Amino acid sequence: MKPAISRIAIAIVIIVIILAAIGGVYYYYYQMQQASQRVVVIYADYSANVAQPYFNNFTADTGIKVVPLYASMGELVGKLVAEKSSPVADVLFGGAPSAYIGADEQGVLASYIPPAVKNDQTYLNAKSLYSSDWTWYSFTYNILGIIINTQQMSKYNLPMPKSWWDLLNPVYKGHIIIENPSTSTTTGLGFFALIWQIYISKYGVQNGTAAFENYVKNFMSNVVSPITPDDEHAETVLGQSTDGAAITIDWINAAPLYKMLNGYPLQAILVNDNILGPTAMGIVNGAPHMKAAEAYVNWVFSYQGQKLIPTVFLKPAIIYNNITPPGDFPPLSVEEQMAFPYNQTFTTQYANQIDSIFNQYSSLVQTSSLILVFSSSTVKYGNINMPVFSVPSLNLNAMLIPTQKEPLFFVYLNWLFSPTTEGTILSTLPGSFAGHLMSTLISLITPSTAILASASLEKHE
Amino acid sequence: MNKKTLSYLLTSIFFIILFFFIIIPLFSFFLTALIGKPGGLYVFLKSSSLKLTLKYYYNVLTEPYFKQSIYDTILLSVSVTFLSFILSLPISYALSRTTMPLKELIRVFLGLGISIPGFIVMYDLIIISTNVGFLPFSLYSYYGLLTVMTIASIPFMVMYVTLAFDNLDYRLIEASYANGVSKIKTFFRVTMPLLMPGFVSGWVIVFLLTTGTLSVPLLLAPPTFPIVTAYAYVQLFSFFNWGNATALLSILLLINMSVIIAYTFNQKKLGFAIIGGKGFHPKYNQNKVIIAVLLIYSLIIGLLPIIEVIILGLAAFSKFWVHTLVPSEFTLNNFNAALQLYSFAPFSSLILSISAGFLAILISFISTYYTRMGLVKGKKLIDILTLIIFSLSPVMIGITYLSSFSNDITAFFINTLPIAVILGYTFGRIGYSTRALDISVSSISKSLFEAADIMGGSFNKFRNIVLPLIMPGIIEGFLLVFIRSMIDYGTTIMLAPYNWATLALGSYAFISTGEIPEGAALGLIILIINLPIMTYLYYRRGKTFHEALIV
Repeated sequence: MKPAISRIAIAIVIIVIILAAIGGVYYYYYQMQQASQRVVVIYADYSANVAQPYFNNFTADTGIKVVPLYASMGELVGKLVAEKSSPVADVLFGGAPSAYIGADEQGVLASYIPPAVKNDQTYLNAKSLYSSDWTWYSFTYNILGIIINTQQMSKYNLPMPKSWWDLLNPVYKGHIIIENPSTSTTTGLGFFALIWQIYISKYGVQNGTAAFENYVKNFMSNVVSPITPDDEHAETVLGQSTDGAAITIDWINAAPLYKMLNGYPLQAILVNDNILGPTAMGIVNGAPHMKAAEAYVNWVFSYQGQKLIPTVFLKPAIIYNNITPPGDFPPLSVEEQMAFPYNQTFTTQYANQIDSIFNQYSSLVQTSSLILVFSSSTVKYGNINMPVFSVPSLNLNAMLIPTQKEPLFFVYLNWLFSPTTEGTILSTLPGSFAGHLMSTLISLITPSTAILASASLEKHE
Repeated sequence: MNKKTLSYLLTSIFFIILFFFIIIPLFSFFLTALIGKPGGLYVFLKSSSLKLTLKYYYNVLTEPYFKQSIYDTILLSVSVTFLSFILSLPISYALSRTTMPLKELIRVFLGLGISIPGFIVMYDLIIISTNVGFLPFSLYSYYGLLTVMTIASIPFMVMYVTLAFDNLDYRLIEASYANGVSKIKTFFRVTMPLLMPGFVSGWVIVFLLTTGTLSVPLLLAPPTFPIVTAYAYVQLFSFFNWGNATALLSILLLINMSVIIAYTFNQKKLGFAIIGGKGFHPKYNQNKVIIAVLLIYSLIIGLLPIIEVIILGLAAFSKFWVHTLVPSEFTLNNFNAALQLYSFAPFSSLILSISAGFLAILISFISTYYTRMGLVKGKKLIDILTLIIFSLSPVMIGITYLSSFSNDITAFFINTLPIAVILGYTFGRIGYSTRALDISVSSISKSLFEAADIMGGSFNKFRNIVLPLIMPGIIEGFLLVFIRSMIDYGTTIMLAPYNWATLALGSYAFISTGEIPEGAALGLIILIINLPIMTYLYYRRGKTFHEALIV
């Protein structure tokens, strides 16, 4: 066997030499590339089809090439943490602030104050939009709503839902699809958290929780089973539906977005008792192309970058006045026009309102699972009477402030939405540990709930 | 250089490789559970602020939910292993011991089943069960998990069980009968010991594969039936709790290790001492009724992947498709859109996966053939190490490699060259190739090795005598590593340098953001690449085995 082994050994040596040579050339090329700041590596929690045009515009404006990695926020942050000793990415882009709080705790984000917002008092006053140490900052926001397939609504002669409570109507049985609330920011932390908080604000923790679980039971009996794994999948099923699926719950930019991408007949309905959800970005700690990363962040906050946000992401710009959608933008419903204040922005007055409310509860951020702040005032829009507290054009009466114990709420939802217990949610859960978990969670989650008022609740009951 | 020196040299080189790419990552993995942060040995030694703690293990061992997840995972894995073995036995028997027609076709059908990324299968199933409601139970339950994972495991089980039947030397059974031993006694004393290596390999592979699967339980496991990988994934990627996630996974890893060690040390006891050789005198079952029944059964099981492929193909060309049997509108734009963003991905996938396939075969060859020849020592340790790393899910291998090697000394290799991702693919799947080659190598009569040695050991003799005998193992091993690397998402996202995005990575990125047609288009390209390679190799495998019979 010796000659055979010798041949293999020689072959291995040759392969190693070739690989070393290739590696050397590559290393030289890599050093050259690192030295240049004409590249920015962006980890993006976005669909490639959506974000790529935005990145292309940045490249056209600045000459800096974007190298994107599209994946879910959890995986991107996990990757950032694992490669912390030798970072690859420059910018983390998209996703909710709650994920950025987690990432910041792991030390993967760098502090940077974008000059564009540094002197913008309106932005600075809205302290829930950015971290106190400037490791992340929101560049757009969204509003939770009901999304309908207009064709299916007509086909099945379904009435337009006007509130979260309308969705309990048995007429919608088999027409609602939702993404899995046990893992979702949208339906879990957003929708169901909102409903729960509304109930406990009215009835207190114990009775309110029971009322909430009753809502869940009735709501889920209208939902098509099985629930979809994510909101993108729910939108796809809804958009392509020919067989009755007509309603879902999502951030309302989903309707114009999927209308634009796939031509789905979707429309957003904005309802009372709502939530604002910011979308954030941040520079990676030790970013290899730091200058390019800063250039990207500055561009996003520039007039050009903000102007494109409504057209690309179909969400509102967060700063700069007079940003209007282009002519070929899909026609907006009355509610969408209200939700997307293209010609408005935060005013100091309203930002101050947010600020004062936020400050009142800021100490709870460290210890709470979630904080929802409710409004006591109402504003009339068309035929909709909306309680608001912050920005009238946003029609909000609740604001979700990300906190560090959010995960606990998901554990509760996980327990609540167990598909095997669907329909008999409260009464028949097996084992004592579930009950123990439940009471522990409730005690952990609820004491910090911040309720200002609940003007809109009266009419639901 | 005498044989002893050569043996020491080869063994040392081999263990240095294993030390770097299996032991160091595994050590980093356990270290993460003790410090609560990723970073590996290098970071731990460099940082004085990191302290060792057992609190994550305490959490995992005291919280009922964590404990339940471990129990449920074991229950599911044992059930999947048992069910897939029972369902695979007839197919493997038919493929190996009968004159059943269409064998290559059935092999390719089953091979297709392992060529479709798990996340695509999941979406297919969700769409079907939403629209058609064909399952008598919820997909989101123990039974849903059992169904999906058993279907996914059958192709693997068939491969290993078929190799076992291939190695059955009928002369030994005939000898037993000739000596007046009863049929029952012959079955237990002769037939079973000859079949056991392949059977047990199949059981161990499927068991480890099931405990490490992430994509299926992540979408399907209900909260009342928590599965370790999915629960750890949520701990890690939603809550960034590295300590709890790795402590939980390392408990599972310890359980897997005990299975692996028991398997490795009991190989001989199970009757693995092969005194014969290859199945030179296979006795084929020619009963037409039995063959017809087996053919129908094999085709039904083999058609399951075909249904998946059809759904994938339709989705790839669809513009609108929900709640109808076929898409209501077709388009080619999905391919354009997907390839515009991932133009290098087909090449990247091929380069990375073929490299991983060859590397895995090379390492498996050394750890099976060279250990059999006595040139490399420590076979048991090698077996244990390769199987332990195999039992980690791809995304955990990615994370473990990343935290082990992404430091200021080795980061260059991680960030620019696709070396880490190839090594991640290779060592993450080396269990496949080592098991496949081990079955082939261990079934060869020792006298053949001696004969080859006496004949001068030239490369030609090796090529003419040994290689044809182990070729089925090489081909099965290469294919498994290659195909599973082609559809890998978890290791790729963590380790691939940014300009080395693969088809599977692109497909997952599209599908996870609702762009199912584009994701399906890239998934279909993976299949289009895999299919000819698979078909050719199965053709070669059949031919080689035939040649081996003539020799």
